Amino acid sequence: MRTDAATAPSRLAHHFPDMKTQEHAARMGMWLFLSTEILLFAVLFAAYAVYRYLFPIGFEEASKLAHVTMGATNTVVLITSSLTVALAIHYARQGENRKVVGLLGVTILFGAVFMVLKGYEYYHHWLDGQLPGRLYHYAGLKGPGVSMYFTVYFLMTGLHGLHVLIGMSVLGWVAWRAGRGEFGPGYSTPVELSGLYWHLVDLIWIFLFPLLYLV
Amino acid sequence: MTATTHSEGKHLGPAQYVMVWAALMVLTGVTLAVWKTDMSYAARVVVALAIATVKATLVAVFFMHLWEEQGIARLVLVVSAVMVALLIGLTLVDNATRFPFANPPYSGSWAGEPYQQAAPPMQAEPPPVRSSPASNVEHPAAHKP
Amino acid sequence: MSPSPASSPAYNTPNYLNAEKGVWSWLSTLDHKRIGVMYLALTLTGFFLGGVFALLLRIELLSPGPTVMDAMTYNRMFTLHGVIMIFLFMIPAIPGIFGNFFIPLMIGAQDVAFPRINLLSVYLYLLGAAIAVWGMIQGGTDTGWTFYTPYSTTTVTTVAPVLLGAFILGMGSIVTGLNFIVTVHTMRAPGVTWMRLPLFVWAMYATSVIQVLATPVLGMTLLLVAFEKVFGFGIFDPARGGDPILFQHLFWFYSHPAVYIMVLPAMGVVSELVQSAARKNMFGYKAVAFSSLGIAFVGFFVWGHHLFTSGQSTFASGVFGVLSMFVGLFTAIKVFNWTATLYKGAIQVSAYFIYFMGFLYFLVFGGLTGIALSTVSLDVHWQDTYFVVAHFHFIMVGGTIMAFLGGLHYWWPKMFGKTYSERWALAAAVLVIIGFNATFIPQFLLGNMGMPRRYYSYPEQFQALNVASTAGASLLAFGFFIILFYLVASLARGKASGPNPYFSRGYEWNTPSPPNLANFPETPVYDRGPHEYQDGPPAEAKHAH
Repeated sequence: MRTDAATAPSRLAHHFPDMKTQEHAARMGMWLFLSTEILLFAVLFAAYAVYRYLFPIGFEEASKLAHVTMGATNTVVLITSSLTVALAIHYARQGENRKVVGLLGVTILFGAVFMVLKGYEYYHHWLDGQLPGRLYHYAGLKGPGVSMYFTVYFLMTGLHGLHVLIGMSVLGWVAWRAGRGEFGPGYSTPVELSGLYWHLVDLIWIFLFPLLYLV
Repeated sequence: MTATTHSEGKHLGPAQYVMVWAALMVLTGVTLAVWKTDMSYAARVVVALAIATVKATLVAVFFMHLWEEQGIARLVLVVSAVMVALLIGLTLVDNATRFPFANPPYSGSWAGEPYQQAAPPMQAEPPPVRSSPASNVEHPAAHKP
Repeated sequence: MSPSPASSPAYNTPNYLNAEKGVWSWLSTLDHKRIGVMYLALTLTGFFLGGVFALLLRIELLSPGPTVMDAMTYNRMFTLHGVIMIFLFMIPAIPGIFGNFFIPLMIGAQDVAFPRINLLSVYLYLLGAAIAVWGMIQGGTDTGWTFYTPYSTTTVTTVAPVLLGAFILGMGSIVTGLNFIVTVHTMRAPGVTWMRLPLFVWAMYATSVIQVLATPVLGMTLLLVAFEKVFGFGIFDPARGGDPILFQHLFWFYSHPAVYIMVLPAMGVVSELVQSAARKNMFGYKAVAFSSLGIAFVGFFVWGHHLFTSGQSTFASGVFGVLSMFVGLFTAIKVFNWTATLYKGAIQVSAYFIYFMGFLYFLVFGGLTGIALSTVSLDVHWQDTYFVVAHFHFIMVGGTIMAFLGGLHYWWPKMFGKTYSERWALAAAVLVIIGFNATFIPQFLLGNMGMPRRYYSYPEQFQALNVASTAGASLLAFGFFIILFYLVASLARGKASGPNPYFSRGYEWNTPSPPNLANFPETPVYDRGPHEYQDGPPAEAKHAH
């Protein structure tokens, strides 16, 4: 099912002098997009930093209510999914589209596992009344900063979860293209770009996990 | 005969990726181990951030191919990180040096010298019905499970 | 679009304007030049809409107490004036119009790096503008364009559509900036080294860096306000431990660099204008080029000067005050270099040169008042008075809009191949400059006397200056209408301009006027920098009568 490079439609756009420049531009564009995502999360990290500074005891006590086992499992899951994506890019560059489909499929599966565990955590927080802001009504812990912890927790993990879902969709589309044998040594840019996005999602979680669950 | 812009011969193979993965797993374990120790609060934050930075660097350099990418991608990542640090840092400087009552109510700086207004006590357990807690703490329902 | 006069051989037919016909060819275009023209139409519409609100404000301020509207309506008017002027004109105009049109031409490229994303930015602009205008029709909000908490999170007025519109407009801004950065890095023609880049391109590059880094912060912050309003999350609510000043930190982290998004492109335009008008290379090319990057970088460090009187710590205020003064350094470098470029130049006085001179004067005086405002002890007196209003209008209207008009007049023949009446243009330029002074100098005086901003009423003793300011605003508006009139008339009845009516040596003049759909028949190779006037005037000038 491999597409022969000689008969494949030319992917060179009219305004680029050659494919090398076009791919370099695509990668640069993706990195710039990633920097906008970093700055987007930076707002929430800033809120986290400010409120943790202001309410050290409230945050420390409230973070004990976070489900560390779930969070740690999710960390392992996401890092492993980063590995599978990196491998997928490697095989895409070599044109082994079958392996790409498999590896991306595993990545998406890990993403789904992440979302399920997250959903489990959210469900239990909801049951206990550990909700953001004015919705907080967990009687087992009250004090300054406690509801703010959960506000920050839900905002950060919620935005992150949204990005996991987006990443899963994008990877799914790329996997479908790999299923049609589109990638090879001359063309693997979609896999690389979507891989970069997925790695960013992992990067953000690498910071989220210790700051929200452990400290 | 690749048409990519990566330098030839610097591509990582699957074995190297798995090694990076293993390193990340080890570091995750270290993070959890540190969490269980008795370090002071501030030390835990610093160590957690340090380990997270190392892990992030591994992911960025190896999984995201900054190892082989041209300079602009590294510049973009570094500049973004600087901006994040700037936003968080200068905002914290403000909160840290403010007149204490200009910070949110009962926040950490409120309880400093010479203002001895301590925050209402942290309640981790529902108080027994018979005791009389401070007036600014709500009474949870007596039949709470 | 417009019929080409049959008697004028210098008008380039066919060109990008008429190469493809029909509305759909415009709505689906990937050509950066057509996208630039669409931005022109859209942002000018926004400008006139914001101007209508401005005139209504000035009419209300003709007398103390309610004149034509009540306090609540006035509050909504100044909010909408700010939101529309900033998000629908000041931020997108020069990048969207001149950036899109001229960056590829100036670097010898056939288009920007991502033409489809470029078209997407137009649609994001349309969508964001439509939502914001819809919110306006629903009654609008009265929080001011700055949406300060806790009022913005508790007000009953329709904040959400305006927030959402601003969010989407921000996405368009990010996309434009991303496109330009990649274009400048990857699509320069052979021979266009970094040190041969036109200074307009340097300025646009620096602007794009700010757009990419700062705008996401605004987007997320506005989203947090919306969440708090709708869900009561309390992230800025003191009752739940929140800090309203955190909102201000996050908001101004974007909005201060945003003013450099507004002024850097103007400085880039002006760098092109001055070299062409003075027939001389820029004095200190490297200094001007790097000062653009310097402004972009240092501009991120100074946002706390908007929080001097908000409850920020005096230590932080001091730090931000000192840092704010550094930005003036880079602007000063530019001002000295522009002036030195004029020295011993063969200056041709034209409308765009008048706008350049106006720009220089307004930027210097507006900028100096900015340095004064960055002194905390002075700002305590001036904060939230008309002094601040006059300061930023000097830079934004006196600076950016003068540069915008200068660029519009300089590049109009290139974009549309038509000549406007130079007499009308000179007269309108003078009128606009006089009107601008008459509008905003009284506001400096009013602010220094203590008249607060965002108030629909004021004590009796301020009335005379307010009336003077309104009179000036009317003059200014009249001048803008004259400009609109003769520019539109030139499209219908203007003489063909020829490829290079000002005999400029900028790279973009190497194309016909208007340019073809394909910028260059084959990739150009450059062996000289732009504006190298030491070689004498360009070839066309030697044949001019």
